[in-house]
Amino acid sequence: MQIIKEDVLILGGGMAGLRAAVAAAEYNKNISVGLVSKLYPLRSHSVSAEGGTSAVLSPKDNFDLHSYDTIKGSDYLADQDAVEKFVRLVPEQIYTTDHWGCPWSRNPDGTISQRDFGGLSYPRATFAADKTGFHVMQTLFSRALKYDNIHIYNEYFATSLIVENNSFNAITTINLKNSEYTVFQGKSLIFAAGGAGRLYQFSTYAHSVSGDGDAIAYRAGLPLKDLEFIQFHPTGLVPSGILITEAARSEGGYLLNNEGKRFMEKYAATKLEKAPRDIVSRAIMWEIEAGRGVKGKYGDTVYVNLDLRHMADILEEKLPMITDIAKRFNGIDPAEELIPVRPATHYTMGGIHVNNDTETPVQGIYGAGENVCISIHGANRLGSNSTNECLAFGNLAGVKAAEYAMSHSMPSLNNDKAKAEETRLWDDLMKRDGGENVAKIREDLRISMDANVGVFRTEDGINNGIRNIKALQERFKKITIGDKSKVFNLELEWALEVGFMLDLAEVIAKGAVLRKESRGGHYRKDYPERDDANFLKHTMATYSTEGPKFTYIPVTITKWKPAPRVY
Amino acid sequence: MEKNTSESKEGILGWAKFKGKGVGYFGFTFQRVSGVVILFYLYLHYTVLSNLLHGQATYNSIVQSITYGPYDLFIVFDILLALVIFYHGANGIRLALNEMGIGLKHNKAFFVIFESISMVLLLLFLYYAWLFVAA
Amino acid sequence: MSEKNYEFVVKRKDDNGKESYSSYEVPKDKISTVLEGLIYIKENFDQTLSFRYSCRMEICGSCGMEVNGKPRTACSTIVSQLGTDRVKVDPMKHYEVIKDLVVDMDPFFTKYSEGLPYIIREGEEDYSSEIPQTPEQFKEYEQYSMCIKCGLCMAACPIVGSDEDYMGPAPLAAVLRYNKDNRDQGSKYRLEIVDGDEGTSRCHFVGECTEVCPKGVDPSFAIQRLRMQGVRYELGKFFRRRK
Repeated sequence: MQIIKEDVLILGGGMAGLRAAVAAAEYNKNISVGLVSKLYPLRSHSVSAEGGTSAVLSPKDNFDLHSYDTIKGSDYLADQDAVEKFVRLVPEQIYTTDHWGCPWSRNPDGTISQRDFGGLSYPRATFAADKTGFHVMQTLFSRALKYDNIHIYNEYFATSLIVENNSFNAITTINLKNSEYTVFQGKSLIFAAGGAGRLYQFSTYAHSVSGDGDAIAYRAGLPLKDLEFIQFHPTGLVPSGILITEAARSEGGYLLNNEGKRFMEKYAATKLEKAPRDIVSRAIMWEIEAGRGVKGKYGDTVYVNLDLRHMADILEEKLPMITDIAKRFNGIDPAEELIPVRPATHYTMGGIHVNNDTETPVQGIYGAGENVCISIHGANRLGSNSTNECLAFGNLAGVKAAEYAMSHSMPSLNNDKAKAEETRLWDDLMKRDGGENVAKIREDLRISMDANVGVFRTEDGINNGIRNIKALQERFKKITIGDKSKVFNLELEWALEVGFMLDLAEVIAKGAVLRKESRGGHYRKDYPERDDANFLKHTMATYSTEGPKFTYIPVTITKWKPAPRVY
Repeated sequence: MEKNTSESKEGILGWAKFKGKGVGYFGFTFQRVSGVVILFYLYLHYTVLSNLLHGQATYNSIVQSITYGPYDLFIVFDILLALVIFYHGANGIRLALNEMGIGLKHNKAFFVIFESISMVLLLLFLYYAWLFVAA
Repeated sequence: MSEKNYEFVVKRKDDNGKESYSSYEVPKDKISTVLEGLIYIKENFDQTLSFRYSCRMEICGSCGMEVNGKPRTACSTIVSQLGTDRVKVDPMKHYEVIKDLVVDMDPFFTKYSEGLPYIIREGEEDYSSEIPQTPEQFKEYEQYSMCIKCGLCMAACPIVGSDEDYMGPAPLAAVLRYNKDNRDQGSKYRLEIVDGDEGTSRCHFVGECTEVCPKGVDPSFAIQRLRMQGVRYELGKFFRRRK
């Protein structure tokens, strides 16, 4: 067992993690910051973010408008005080990253340019072509290189969180390079490990997004909030699921069914293709269910078409990446052909419960980004509201964790728990020998989640999903990790991830069956209306050995009373 | 854990693997090889010249022997030397221009043009050299 | 080998450093890219195979490896476009192999950070507005900012293979990216580092880095432009000292 000590620990090297690392390092040069990631930071899924990030920069725009858009988009489940705080934090982050070298797309006069995005009442999506996440990540990574007190631990896979006396103690990890069990001790910890989208088969997510952060926190007793809200992005490229940015529609792209007709006016009469993601995703699924989906080159997969042919002249400048992706992966030229798309999991609105100051209920543990739920996204995140969240709250979490580290001493390691985890890994998990293949369990889980807890949900379907999860959890007890290697054991990594995913799937499905209403990304065919009387509240799931225990907390409403959500 | 030190570094031998590589790779490797050959010849040249220390007769007989026999096979090496020098010179000019930022966008075309011109010059040179030797 | 399968021949290296090749038959209708092939192999045939991957859309830079002798990102290499049903997969050259196709990227990132690849500005920062940059000024460095740090260029460069101290294509291209950014004021510090034996002078303009770069960064071009900057800088320094 190796022990590494850092003042501030950050789990996850994506946008929120890197932003937090820089913020903590800048807060005080004497604080040592340890950034622990199961990847190299630049391999994090944040680099895949494409379209843009909302910020109030123009004098014609204002904070209330951004707040309102966010809250309406969230189907009124967002905490409004959090949203109001959030929108005010964002502009400075845009300018800060600009000073650090982020190539935000510009107007001819050299100022930052903005464009329209789904569900916005003012075109405030700031962007770096359609590689926004990529460029922001490069910028933050480059900035992190500047600080000697940031220590990046590449490829350490976190397996558990140790909490003692309701305060942070340590995280346990495996160094993938040599399978050494490594414990990171710190004064404070920031969760920034991303979402859980790879619980589903058809997904825009990178393969690595398996909900590790959520699951680790959940198992250590931290409550997970609103996890049943999963965002489906309307335009995942068939068959790979690669994201075709929302900007494709906000710049003027059409969605066509198998009759070659636009269909969005039936579902969002004014906003059409520019409606928020949950609405467009459902519209596509309704079309497919009504038999108006396209079936062609891609086996049994039914999809709709995205038409960009009428905007061929702006593809190169405004949408270079998706043009390249369509050509490279599908052999399709968007200037001349239709792009096959269908809804794919894209965002996890829920996550570890944190307050408006990014604090979890456990002392010394903070969180930012998709890993946590503040909640500013409520039941449906508005497109262009994720990268800015990572920047704004990543920065805040970094400062808060650094403040905490300055005023507290290093806790002494809870050796019993650390030893117990080591035993679990090497003497339990690695020595299981029931012949089950983790990859097969993962595949069955994903297929079941797609079918039962997807865009459309019903009581029977979800219950079916829960039964499947239970069966899979039993099978997981009988896995055999075929690779006994001590060096970069990918099979062990998969096994740990599948273990996490099974826990989270249970939380998602059980939360979904209890929420007998339709709101944002959670659509129940058996309860198609929003029910503010009974369900204007956040779901909180806490770990127990028998499965998640659910409680509810109220939603904070300030200026905007819940109203029907029409686009 | 023991550190595993085996690497897949190819070293200098990797320079000779052209399969699937671009024209620049070939250019690079032969610039090195030709440079070494020219250097070798330079020293050989010094060695031959140094025979002047033994008097004019000795020197002349050596030159005679490698031009008209019995060691006239040496002419083949001379032709190869000319080839190598012309190649090396032309590619060298291209690289010098590159470093000044000229022709970077059309690197492959520059390589082909420079080498073609140099090969034409080589043929001319060989023709006149032949006339000289044959006379 | 049947018509319906691709033959994947994958270089292996186990815990003890023993190297070998394993071969697998992967159904053509199940996969499209080399990465999907590797995942299919691991899920169905061989649990012991290790490789890196993440985004599967050629933006994260994880899956650099050598496919049929050429450095490529596995996720964006379409098997049917290789022109053969035999797919030979090796780890990237010029890196230390950890296991199978996984190589040690730490030396790459160390070299990358040597050239101060971040914006350097003098004085106090005021973060209340942007620093003006016209689209033309952005075009100056646009292509160099597209580097995904996959490290393929290092595997392709024969100089990196014979001189381990050479900074290499991607780290030098990153230097130019920041030197060309009008918001940056740190060129002089970077040129001090890259002018010299293990920097731009070691490049012999083979151009293989540009051949293999999946993002069109053109590092070999970048290095020549960086040389120009270096020459101007050194001359300027020389004459300033004389005055």
